[in-house]
Amino acid sequence: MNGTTTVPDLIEAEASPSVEQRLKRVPLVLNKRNFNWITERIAGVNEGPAPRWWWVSFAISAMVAGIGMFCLGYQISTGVGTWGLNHPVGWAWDITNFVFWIGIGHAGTLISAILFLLRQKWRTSINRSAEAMTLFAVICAAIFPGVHVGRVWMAWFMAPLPNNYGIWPNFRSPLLWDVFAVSTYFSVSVLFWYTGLIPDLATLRDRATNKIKKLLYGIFAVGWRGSNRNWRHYEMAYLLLAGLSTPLVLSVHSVVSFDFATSVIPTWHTTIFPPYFVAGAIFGGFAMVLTLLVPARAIYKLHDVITPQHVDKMAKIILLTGSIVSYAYAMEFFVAWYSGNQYEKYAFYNRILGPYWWYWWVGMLFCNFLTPQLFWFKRFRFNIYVVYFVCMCVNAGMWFERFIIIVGGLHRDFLPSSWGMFYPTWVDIWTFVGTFGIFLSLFLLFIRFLPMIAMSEVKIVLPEADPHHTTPEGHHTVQAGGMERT
Amino acid sequence: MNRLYVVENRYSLTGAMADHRLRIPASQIPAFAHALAGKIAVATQDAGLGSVIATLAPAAGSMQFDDRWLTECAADLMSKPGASLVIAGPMQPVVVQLLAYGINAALKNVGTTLLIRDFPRNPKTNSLLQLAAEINADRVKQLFIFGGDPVYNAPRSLQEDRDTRKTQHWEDLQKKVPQVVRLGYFEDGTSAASHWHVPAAHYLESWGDALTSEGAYLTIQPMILPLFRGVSEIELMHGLLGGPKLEGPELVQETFRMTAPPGEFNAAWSQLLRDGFAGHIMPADKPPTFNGNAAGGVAHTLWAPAPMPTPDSPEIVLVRSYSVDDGRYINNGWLQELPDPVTKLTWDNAALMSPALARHHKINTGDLIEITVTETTLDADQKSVQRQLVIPIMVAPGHADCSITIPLGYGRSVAGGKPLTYSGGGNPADNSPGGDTIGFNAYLLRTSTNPHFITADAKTVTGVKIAKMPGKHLLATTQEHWSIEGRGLVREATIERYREDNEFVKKIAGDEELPPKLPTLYTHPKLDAPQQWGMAVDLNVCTGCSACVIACQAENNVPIVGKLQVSHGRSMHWLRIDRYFADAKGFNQDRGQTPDDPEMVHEPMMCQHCENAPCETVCPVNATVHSEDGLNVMAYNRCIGTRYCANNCPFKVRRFNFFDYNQRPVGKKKIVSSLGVYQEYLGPLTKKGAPDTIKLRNNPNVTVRMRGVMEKCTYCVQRIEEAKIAAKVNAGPSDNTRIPRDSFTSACAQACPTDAIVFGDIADPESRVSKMKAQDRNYRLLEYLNVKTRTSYLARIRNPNPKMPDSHEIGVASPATHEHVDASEGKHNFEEHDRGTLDESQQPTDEQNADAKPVPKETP
Amino acid sequence: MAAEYASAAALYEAAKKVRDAGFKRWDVHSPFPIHGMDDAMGLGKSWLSAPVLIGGITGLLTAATLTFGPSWFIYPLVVHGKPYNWKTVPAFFPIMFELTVLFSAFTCFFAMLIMNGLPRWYHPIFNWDRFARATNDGFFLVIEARDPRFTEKEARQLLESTGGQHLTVVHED
Repeated sequence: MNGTTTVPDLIEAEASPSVEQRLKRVPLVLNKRNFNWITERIAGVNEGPAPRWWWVSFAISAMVAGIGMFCLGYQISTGVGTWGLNHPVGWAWDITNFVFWIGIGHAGTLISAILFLLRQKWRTSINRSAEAMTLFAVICAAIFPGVHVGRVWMAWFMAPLPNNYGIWPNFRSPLLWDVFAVSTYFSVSVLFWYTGLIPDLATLRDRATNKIKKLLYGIFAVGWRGSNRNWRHYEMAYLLLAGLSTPLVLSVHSVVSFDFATSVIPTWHTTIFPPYFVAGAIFGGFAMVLTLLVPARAIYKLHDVITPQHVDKMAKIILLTGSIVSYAYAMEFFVAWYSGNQYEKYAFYNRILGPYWWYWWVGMLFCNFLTPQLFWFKRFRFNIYVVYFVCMCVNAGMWFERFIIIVGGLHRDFLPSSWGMFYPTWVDIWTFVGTFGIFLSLFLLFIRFLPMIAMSEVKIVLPEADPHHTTPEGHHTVQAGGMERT
Repeated sequence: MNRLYVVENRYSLTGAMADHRLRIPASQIPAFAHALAGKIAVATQDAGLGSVIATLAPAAGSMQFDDRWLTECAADLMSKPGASLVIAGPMQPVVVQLLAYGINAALKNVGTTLLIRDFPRNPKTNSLLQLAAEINADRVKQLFIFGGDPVYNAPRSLQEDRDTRKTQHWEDLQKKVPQVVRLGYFEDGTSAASHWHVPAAHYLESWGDALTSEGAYLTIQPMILPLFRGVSEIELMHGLLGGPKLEGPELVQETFRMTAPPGEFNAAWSQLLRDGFAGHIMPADKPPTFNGNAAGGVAHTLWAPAPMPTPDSPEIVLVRSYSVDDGRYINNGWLQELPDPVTKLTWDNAALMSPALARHHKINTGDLIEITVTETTLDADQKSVQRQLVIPIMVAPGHADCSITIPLGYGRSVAGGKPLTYSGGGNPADNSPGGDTIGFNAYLLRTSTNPHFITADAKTVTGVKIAKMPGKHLLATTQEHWSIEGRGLVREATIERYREDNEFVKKIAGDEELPPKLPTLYTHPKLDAPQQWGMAVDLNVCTGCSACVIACQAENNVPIVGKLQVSHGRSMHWLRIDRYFADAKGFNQDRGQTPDDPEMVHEPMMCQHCENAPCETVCPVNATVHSEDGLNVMAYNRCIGTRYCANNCPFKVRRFNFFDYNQRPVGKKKIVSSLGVYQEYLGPLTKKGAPDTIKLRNNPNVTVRMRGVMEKCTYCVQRIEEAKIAAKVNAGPSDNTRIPRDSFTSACAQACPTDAIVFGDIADPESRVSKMKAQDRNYRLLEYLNVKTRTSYLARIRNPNPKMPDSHEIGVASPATHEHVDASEGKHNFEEHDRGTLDESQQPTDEQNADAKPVPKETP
Repeated sequence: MAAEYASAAALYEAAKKVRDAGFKRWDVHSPFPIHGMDDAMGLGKSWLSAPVLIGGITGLLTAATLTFGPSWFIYPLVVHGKPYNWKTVPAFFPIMFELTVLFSAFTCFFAMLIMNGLPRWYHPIFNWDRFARATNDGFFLVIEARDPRFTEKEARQLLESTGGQHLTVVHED
């Protein structure tokens, strides 16, 4: 197609820029698409029949989710001993998975809320999927605190509900802060996501061909008609929710990090954890966003909306947060040495040279520190294969990091007599894999039934959305009726 | 203070308490005794001892001992005549016992530290060997076996069949007897080879009497009528003798009558039952004599010193297991799961060897070896008799080189393949090479000529060979890491250091920078009950015997979990004994460095009941909170099992019920023959509910915990509450509901044979525990965390002889203190530093430092 | 009276004219919020923030009561030696923060719906079939007959003069 801006063009453009070229912003939607194209392309995914690959993937992920459910049922009916936990390692894969999934969720909120407050328009093509990913990740995460307890049928004790002992939950406990934080995070994310969905659901309602779809989309679109009086409050609500979500996302992972930071165990008892965890969460979350969106855009040919620029910017954020995380790693070691505290010093010596050494060298050093450094180079940021490789490494690396913190801290703490090793069982492993199944199943359902890109928001970033925009030469003109003319 | 020298081949608890320890192969101990006797004879010029050793010559090739060690040890013994004691172990041959007696006589101990008592022996007692000979000669028509398990633990190769000349073990002999009746607790191998098995009543269900080794006469009184209608020994024997039917008490009365109790018989009988012993039977001391010449003659006849074993032909030492003894307690789940105090091994035995021997053979803990003992006797085919045993090894720091110790009592099986069930209700059999047995049967190596040591002495044994076998055996230990890693957890010092600086315990690395009172941001809520509970553990007298562990398990219904779960690190003992090895040089256990000759220290660890307990704050449901009398209490019914409290406990004393140990069976279940699945992993498919015997066993005062609940030491809160109730009842209408001082105690303190654990009211300055805590050896673990533990420890003091060559290696378990706390330089005044006054003007001058005296300790 | 426009810019200009003409009951419809349209319509800032503030304060007070009540008044327990009095408040900060945010967010969402008069599944404008483009790429301006200045002729004139197309009278049934 003529006028297509390709990657080499972009690189060339920035390699030998003239002043005009330097000042010209790279368009966020390529190929000069118009509103209708966006609607057609994005809503078209939901309106057509599900392609075969979707059914196959869904079947596989549902099966994996089923295996995960079976493992959970087995563990709840038989005992926590079916996992590899022991004395001293009371938490291992269960809480590692919990923190892993919650961390992934944070990227979605960052994209939706923080980038919104920072007026980063490029967020619009990825924020819907990212927020959906947040919700599904939080669902997967929230499974674990519920089921990892020894007596799941009494987990409701954590809520301040009346019970026959007349006893209240312990509000000083970080686990209870988690309960409040994660449920708040989930609720607010649902609200935020749903608020953003309303106009798009209206679009789907208006285009719906069969009655059931029209009814369902119509109910959830709450009668939206695009009225500016509504838009006015809507925009304010969006801004407020974004403003609320920003401190929320920072606080939620800080509260999750308090699970460890407020304890007395050597590697856990450190104030570096809240920023470390939040940065790490965003780091891992962006990697997961890219992991999901890169195939999705390839399959649905959304390269014009999720452009290489978007990937580039996300890669830069990965590099930034990865560097923060790496700095935090270095600081931990420095502070351990500087403190002179023998328990702390040993704990970090054990991290790199102890029995779990390879988790650190492969997971934290290679995956989290070294691979994102490739993103300093533009060549790699625009090479989708390199980007994908780095994202997979980061996903794995973040899991290893949490494991090293949790198990590494527990298995060797103060009294050498209680030192022990942890080995996962098949139940541990398949429960975790099962959560991936749940996550992917939900994501596939989301792609199938809901618009994966925020159409109304992407339209705002098109040049013609601006009321002061004048149509330049060579642009497609919008005819009355809005049908695209090629 | 006493000083203890121990000479042994393996680490025993006595060796752990020793100030100086020499590790030599057990077969060389006669040579050592001879050498020591020589030194003492020369120095004391004692004629008796001299005539004993004059007849003995050291064996060619026996071990050479460090002359300085011997000399100084002898000199030390001789420095206090009449105040020392030399004891030879019960497995040592008669010659060594004679030498020890002679040494004691030379040191003038006999009559002062060593008393002689007359012990009445039944002249008609024969040995098993004589019985075996009689059976082989077909002279025995009926055999009654009361208890024991001779098929299992009789020496091997007792006789030869007269016709076929084949070797006869006890089992073959027993099968020759036309009628065998066996009285036993359960149907074991001996019962399988008998014609009749009569179920025995447990000794706690039986009447009887006994004589102690000191000569006192005791009664055996039942606690309960026989649960399973067993028959007691005296009842069966009385029946055999054809007497009229009498009940247990009457039988005992018959014997009691024969001791001629003074006064009216019924009154004397009631007194006997009340006291448990007969007051009128006094053990009589015999006057001390030592006939050196006669002893010398006997010694000369029996003297058979063995040459030094080599790494390729080590000696084998067979010892009784700390937990199952000679095999009699194999069916006791508590004892099976009790970690061996030295090796921390459960549910198994293993061949213990020194790190050097293991390195020589290139084997490691868990590897299987085959021990082959080749004897000089020939079998029916004129080939040397060989005895073999396949057993895993365990590397034991502090073990003598060229020596292997194997605990007896394991590998006991039942003919017919049915394994012995243990009192946990499940089936703990493991896939050891011997089939459905627990552990490895070392009796296969035991003969009557070499019942305790097997060494290639060319007289009875030509060779002992070790061969590595393929495969490994899972050994379940409760403690993997035994290096103390330079942490001030078990604190000890030599008595010199203690005398130099009474406050040494506060200056161990980690604590020396602490101010006397740790700062706090806020005031803690007052714990205002009039009596506050605390505990002190005196590490100086704790031997590591683990009686407290079993007492706690018995009192608090602590479940056993079976071998697999112990190997996964899930043992449920609320109280554990941590055992560390410490070396002056230091070693890195992770890099596979094991010390050859370290010290061993013990530390009982139970919930420390911290006033600022880190476990309390992290429980989301308030299942663990603090009581006003200072206990960290655990509400089982509120606990949902997040395990955060266990994670946050710096001492890792909390125990989580990973499975339903109390209600569901634990252990292996054979499904599809070889596919062994452990029953705890089949949870809902197994039978729910504890067996009746378990329900009877449980302490009704203590809740039985279900799966998913956290538990830990409660300072025996049920006993505290019982005492409170009793005090209230006794008080009646008055207000004084105080529990009388030291009137009750926790189960562990009650069981401790040395009173190392003391429990009581710390708000009362006169209680035993307060007095212990006021001692200057008192310290708390991890003080810098400011958790304010209610359990404190008294540091261990060792008393090495400064002239001994290894004295600098004693008392090294605590990490070295830093340079600036070197008192001998006199430049820094500790007391001021300890009080936190670092102000220049307040530092004493050099003059003042020169005669600084220890300032009396302030009561905190 | 409803009119369709060709672009966001056109709609923007038209809105300004309608505002200047003094109409009060009228609205513009677009698939996305047009930048500056609020001013063009003469609407001020949205006061959604007020209920949200109230919601947040309610959340904060709820959390404070929920956490302080049991630990100081109802059922004080000795936990880790933490004090009973106000000095224990740092332990409660996370819950206070979370509930503030939670209550604010819910208030925001429901206040937005209420202030928008949503859910309103029926609206007369849906009867116009061209209106379906409002959620796709169409721009509409509607002047309601209820407006006191409304006359059909004037409205038609005004809308045509600003470039409106497909003028339609939409009835309320």
